[in-house]
Amino acid sequence: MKVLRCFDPLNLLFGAVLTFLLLPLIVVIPVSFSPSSVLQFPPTRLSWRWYEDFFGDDRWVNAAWLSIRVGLAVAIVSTLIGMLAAVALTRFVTLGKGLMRSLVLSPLIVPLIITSVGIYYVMSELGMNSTFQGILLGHTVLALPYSVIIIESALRGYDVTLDEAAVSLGASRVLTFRKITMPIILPSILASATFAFITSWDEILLVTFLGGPRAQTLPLRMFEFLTTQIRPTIAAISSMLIVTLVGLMLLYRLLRWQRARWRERSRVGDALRWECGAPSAPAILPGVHEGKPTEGGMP
Amino acid sequence: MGRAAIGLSLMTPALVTLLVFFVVPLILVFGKSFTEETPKRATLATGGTGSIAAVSVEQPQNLRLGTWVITTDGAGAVSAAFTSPGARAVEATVSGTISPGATNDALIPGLKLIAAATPRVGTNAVTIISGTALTLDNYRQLWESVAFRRIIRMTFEIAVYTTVVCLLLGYAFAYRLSLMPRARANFFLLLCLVPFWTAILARLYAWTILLGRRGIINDWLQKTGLVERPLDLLFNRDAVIVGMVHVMLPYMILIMYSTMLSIDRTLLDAAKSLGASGFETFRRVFLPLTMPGVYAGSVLVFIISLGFFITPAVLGGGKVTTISMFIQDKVRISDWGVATAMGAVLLVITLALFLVFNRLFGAERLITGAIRK
Repeated sequence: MKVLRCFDPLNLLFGAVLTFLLLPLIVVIPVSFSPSSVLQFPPTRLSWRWYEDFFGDDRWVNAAWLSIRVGLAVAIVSTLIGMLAAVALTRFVTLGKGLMRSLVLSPLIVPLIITSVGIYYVMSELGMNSTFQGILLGHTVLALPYSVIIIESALRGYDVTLDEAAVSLGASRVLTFRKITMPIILPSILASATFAFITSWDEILLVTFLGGPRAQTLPLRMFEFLTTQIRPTIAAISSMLIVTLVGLMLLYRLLRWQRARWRERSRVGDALRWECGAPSAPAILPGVHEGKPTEGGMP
Repeated sequence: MGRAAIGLSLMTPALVTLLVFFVVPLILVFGKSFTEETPKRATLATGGTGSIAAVSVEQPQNLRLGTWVITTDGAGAVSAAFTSPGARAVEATVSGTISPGATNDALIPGLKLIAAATPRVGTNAVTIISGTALTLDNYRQLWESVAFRRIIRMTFEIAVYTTVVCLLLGYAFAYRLSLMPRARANFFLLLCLVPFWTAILARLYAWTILLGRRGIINDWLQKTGLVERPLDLLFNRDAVIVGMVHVMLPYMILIMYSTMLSIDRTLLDAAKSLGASGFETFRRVFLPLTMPGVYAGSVLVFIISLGFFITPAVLGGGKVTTISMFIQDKVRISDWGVATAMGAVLLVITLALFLVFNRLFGAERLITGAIRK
């Protein structure tokens, strides 16, 4: 019976879809270790040639470094601005709330190409093309809606009586936010930063306008490389990206598992903190964008 | 400070960022789709002492933006020097004659100079500026071009195929997931999320090595003797669809799975206990209950698919042009009029679909959805 079930059409389809989703990612890794510059699969010998190609070339390393810097800056700026907006939207703004909210979320609905053209136009007028600041601001516009949504949903599920208790004990509003609210919504703040980082890290369309030889991010360089050359250097980069991602996902799972275990053991006070806090960030569906974070996903 | 004032001040950074870098540029850019910059005007600086009395534009296409400094010697001989904005040096000089009271359009191509009746010695500055006029020309030009229909048809075709394939595969996959114990389903869902989170270019590269003429699939097909010559799998419309399904399928799976999880299983048991067969239960109970998810997922995937740029650019190999690619190309060669007109078309289509979606399911669902739990 068990054997028969394997050939059930639904199971076959299930396997096929899973293969379709995962096979391309798996195939890249052996190719990256092939010594030959023409495609060999499976490779006859193993070599680090394409990894050396990447790390030995300043243009690649600089591109990766720029992407990391921009990504971190976007993560900080977007989370900060987004957190203020989320606090305003959940606690203070009443008049024109709907309008403000739609404004903040609108970059998700407007197609990325249109947003990019607009940002490119204003950056040209301001003379900020091909600059770090230009890309940073552009990516912040794209990442901001995610930050607002993630932090807003954490604040919505937040038990306000905790804040009221702090205030009644004499804490100021700012102190209450810093000492009570922020630690509790910390997981969502981190989720927002992760999303913002990845939005920037994987963004290509906007940087085809804003970037240039002087400001080439890793995806832009990969994109230009991919459309003009066939050297497997890109296999090495892709493999590193895939392995890093899977590693991070495993780490995240492990942390969650550890946290769950720790929560079981912890005393009431600690448990309370985790219990009332950490309303888990919502899974996000993305806007009208291609690219990853813009593709959504979940923290 | 009142609540409203605190709220507004907290919103300020977000609002300013979005106004300066999103809303205002969009308005300015779409303004460009209704204006035309080409017809240029020439103005004569007031207070000039030379004998040029008036100036008008004859052939705007021959003119560049800048300033002609025209020197007259009082006897009919004229010399002129041209500088364009931002340039440090004189870019062109011409000289000739102009008789009092007559017009001269040969001296400076495109510009018609009218000499004063009484010749004087001195200089005049003639500045050629761009005139912006309201026009629907960009839209007409777009509408009449063959490329427009081809691009719109191609973009829609790809989006429809992507949506249909995603829906069929996603539905079946999510259905199988929904039959599993929760822990195992979560494990498989996690596997689906790996491509979801992988850098888009890494995935596209993977498809180029799978589908290429000397790629893995062709290699395997030839080795097993199924085909004699390599098939053209890459750089065509179908390759783009394959790539886009790979990008969009995880979305569809997540939406369908969350819809299926929310279904009350006892309804299915009830149908069965009343004598319905497995297939009948599926068709008459399960399927209708999942239809909201089917609509939501399809519209979402369709809207996102309309805006694709990177996947068709890499996997299409120049044979596929989508709306986004067209706009990107036109902007890069500074053809703002046509680019922004096309942008307006894409925006209107997207917003229309979005409004329909909003009516049916609420915008929240498109933007955030508590997909899991």
